[in-house]
Amino acid sequence: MIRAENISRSFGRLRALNNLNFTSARGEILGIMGANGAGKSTLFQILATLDSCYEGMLSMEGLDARKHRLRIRRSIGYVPGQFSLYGDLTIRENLLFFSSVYGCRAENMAEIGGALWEGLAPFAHRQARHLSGGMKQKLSLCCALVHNPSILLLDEPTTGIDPRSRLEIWDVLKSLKQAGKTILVSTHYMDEACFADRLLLLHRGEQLSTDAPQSMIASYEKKLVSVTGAPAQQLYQVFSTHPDAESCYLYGNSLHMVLPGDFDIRSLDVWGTTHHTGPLDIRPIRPEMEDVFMDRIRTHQQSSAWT
Amino acid sequence: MNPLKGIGAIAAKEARHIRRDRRSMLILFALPAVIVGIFGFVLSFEIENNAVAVLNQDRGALSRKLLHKTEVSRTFRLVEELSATADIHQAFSREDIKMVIVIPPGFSRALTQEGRLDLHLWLDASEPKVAWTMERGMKNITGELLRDLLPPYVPGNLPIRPLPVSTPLADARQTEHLPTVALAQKALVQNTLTQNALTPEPVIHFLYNPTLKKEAMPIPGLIMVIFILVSSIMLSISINKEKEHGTARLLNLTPLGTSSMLLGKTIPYLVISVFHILTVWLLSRHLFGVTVAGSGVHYFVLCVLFALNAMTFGILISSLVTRQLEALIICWLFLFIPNIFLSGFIFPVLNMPAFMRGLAGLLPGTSFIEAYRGIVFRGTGLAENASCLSFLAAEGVVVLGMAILIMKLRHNPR
Amino acid sequence: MDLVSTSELTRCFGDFVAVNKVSVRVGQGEILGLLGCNGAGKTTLIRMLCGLLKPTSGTARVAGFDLHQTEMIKQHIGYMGQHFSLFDDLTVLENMEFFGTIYGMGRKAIRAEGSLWLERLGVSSQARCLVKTLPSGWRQALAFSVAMLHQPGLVFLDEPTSGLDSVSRRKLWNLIYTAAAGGTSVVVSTHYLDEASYCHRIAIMEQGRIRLEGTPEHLRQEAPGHQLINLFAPRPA
Repeated sequence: MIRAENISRSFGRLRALNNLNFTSARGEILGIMGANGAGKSTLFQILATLDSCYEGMLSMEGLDARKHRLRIRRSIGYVPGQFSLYGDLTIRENLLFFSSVYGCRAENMAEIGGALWEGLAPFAHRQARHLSGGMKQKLSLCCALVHNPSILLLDEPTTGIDPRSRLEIWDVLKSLKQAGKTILVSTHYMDEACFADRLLLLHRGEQLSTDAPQSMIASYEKKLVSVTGAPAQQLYQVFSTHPDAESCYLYGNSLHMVLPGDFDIRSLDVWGTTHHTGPLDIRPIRPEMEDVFMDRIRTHQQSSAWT
Repeated sequence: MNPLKGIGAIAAKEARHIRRDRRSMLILFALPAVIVGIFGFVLSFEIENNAVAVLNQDRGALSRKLLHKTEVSRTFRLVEELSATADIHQAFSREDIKMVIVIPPGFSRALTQEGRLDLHLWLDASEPKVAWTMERGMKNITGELLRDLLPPYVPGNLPIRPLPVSTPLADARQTEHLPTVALAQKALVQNTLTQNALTPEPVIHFLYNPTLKKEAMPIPGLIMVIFILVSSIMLSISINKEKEHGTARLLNLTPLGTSSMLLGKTIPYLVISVFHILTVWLLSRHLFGVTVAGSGVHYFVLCVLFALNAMTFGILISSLVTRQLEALIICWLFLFIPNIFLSGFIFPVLNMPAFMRGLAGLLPGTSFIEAYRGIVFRGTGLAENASCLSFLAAEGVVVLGMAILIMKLRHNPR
Repeated sequence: MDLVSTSELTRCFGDFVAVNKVSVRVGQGEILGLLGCNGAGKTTLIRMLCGLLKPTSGTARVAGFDLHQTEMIKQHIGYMGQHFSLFDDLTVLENMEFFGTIYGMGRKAIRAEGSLWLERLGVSSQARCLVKTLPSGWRQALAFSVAMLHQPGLVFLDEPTSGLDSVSRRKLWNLIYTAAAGGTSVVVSTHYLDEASYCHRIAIMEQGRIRLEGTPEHLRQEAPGHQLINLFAPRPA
């Protein structure tokens, strides 16, 4: 259980986090979504009690994170963004080391690692630095679980990992969630966003919104269309000058356009013909998380430009 | 493409890298200046003003003249007058005294009548460089004394000629000795002729490293180098490796405290240091024939203390910087180089100018080398080396305290 | 004309066959995406085609040259690696000057081509800033501009978007499309499945072989449940 109230963090003049408010409950995955430099890692440093120079109030498991840092640390499992285990030790040695540091008895690796250990066991005597990115992350997660923490903090655990290992890691997170753990995980893979129960969108230290991914997509008010039928580059040149186009980008052989919600897409045909594109195939498409995210950022930038 | 252009592009880029990297600038420009500064400074020192004790049992004029010459020379400084032969060894317990001049009864007579230099020098050879310098300095003085007694050299007219009445030595102080001088000259001339122009030299007695073994000289310095390497440099690199790899952050989250983490990390390095203490001891004994004059236990205690002290410096340095490379550079710059050049390993500390002596006093190497020479060469016990040993221990505690404080502040700001 | 055409290209490391009889071609102005898990052989294939690694067997022509003419190949292609490949402590302009000179460009050409790319990126005013002071999202796009500076007909991008957020990714892809529209062929390896749709054609690699090849639409149609992820080998139960 985590409760953050008005969390802010500044580095000199730079406001890395501005007034964050969120809660995270037991048995829930809260996804932190944001671009590079949005403040995700800064937030994780604070949540991991490694940084106490923040403003606001943070309580974890009902304890004030500033006052009870040492007690809270016992119930936190932290997987940093950078691989932070001993590359020259084997999988087994890494696990044994961390469990003994936490004063846990690690007779049974399977007990510590659970389902994760099944994937790692065949390589138990391999040095960690020789593992693939996916295996490294599984090992990090395993090491973060040795002391059976109730809160799990994962800073971009799936970055740079192949798609299959990413899914496996998410499967593990889902089963940990069912075991009643509070899980905070940051990612910038949009396709992963829907695995989280709720999402916190972070942009340049600002909390854009916090909601379930499905309702975020449902609340997307813009109209998204795909245009094909002419060379993509030509489509781009033609439609990026359209007065109602909020955003235009190429998507393989097609052009995607963001238009106001009440826009009548039939008028696009006319725009195409006046620019001599020939017959076009224009159809609305379902927005995805990425579209929602880009839209929120755009709206935020517009509103902050006005103030 | 034109390869010259490519080379030029690489060179221009490299120059920009250097200009923008403070660390490179430091190594490329400040480090050589520091090394040349310290090294040049140290090498340009004269070993001067060595404290000397005197046992003068001769009451003649020449012994007084010898002592006068010794007193005014830059090399020596008479600090103590002994009264009996039994005091000679005792005199060396005074830390600064490195030589005792013994002038036996009848020194002046032997010199004037027989042309024999009956002079004994007792030298502390545990610091061979100082011993050599003092030996040379003393020989210069006796040579000068003898030259004063000789007739002036006239080309084409070799020494056999009657002494002129007006002697060139006719300075106010020396005229009163004229009769004696004349006799001595005669004796010397005869001596020179008969003994094939051998200059009589004082009798030298080396104490504490009697054969003045060259091999023995660098051993304390080498031990120091080993410990700085193993205990300071490797330890600080290892600590910063954890920081660089992010494992330090994970450890910080565990119930393990900073102190226990440090303690755990130092143990393997301490074991390695003990291993080196034993190997160096065995090697110096069997290869160079150097035996520990004092107690082996004291030798061991000293080495372990120094190793521990070196570790605290390693920890302090790693607490100040975050990268392995930085730790390495700082260790070289602030531990290795000063300890090599200023600890008395290369140049005796007692002869340094006051401010350098103060700096040297803070270096653990200085205390180590002094106590090492005491225990291994002179066979002194704990009491004589108490100041060095307690300094090493106290400095270690202070440095470790500073390091832990800095680490705690860094890990948990505010 | 095909900028890349390989025939049974193979590379072994000891017993391990990293790339196994790969035959692939890339046309002018085409964007080919290489998809696959870690160790599938994407990077090894790209390194061979760049002339950085000799093949064990098989032949290939790259940018009109035979694979053993490595110097000529290097001269006529662009390459951008997984890791950010500009010099942090040089300015944007200095980076461009350096890489441009390496490829034998004159000062004027560098300035002209460089300012064109900076304009496309919208960072003309930052030309004299140290690269490390720029937002991380721009850097990979800058690295791409630098790789394109000598106007290569073919450019290899090895996981260029690994670790990038979607904003920066779109920025980079916009540049890639611009380059492709200008006739440059692009070979790009990626982990992001959604990114596969950005490519004109994709090749899915597995254990050193190309298992599937086709347009993203085509492959998605074929995939079970119309999800690209299902094209990868079934996960162990």
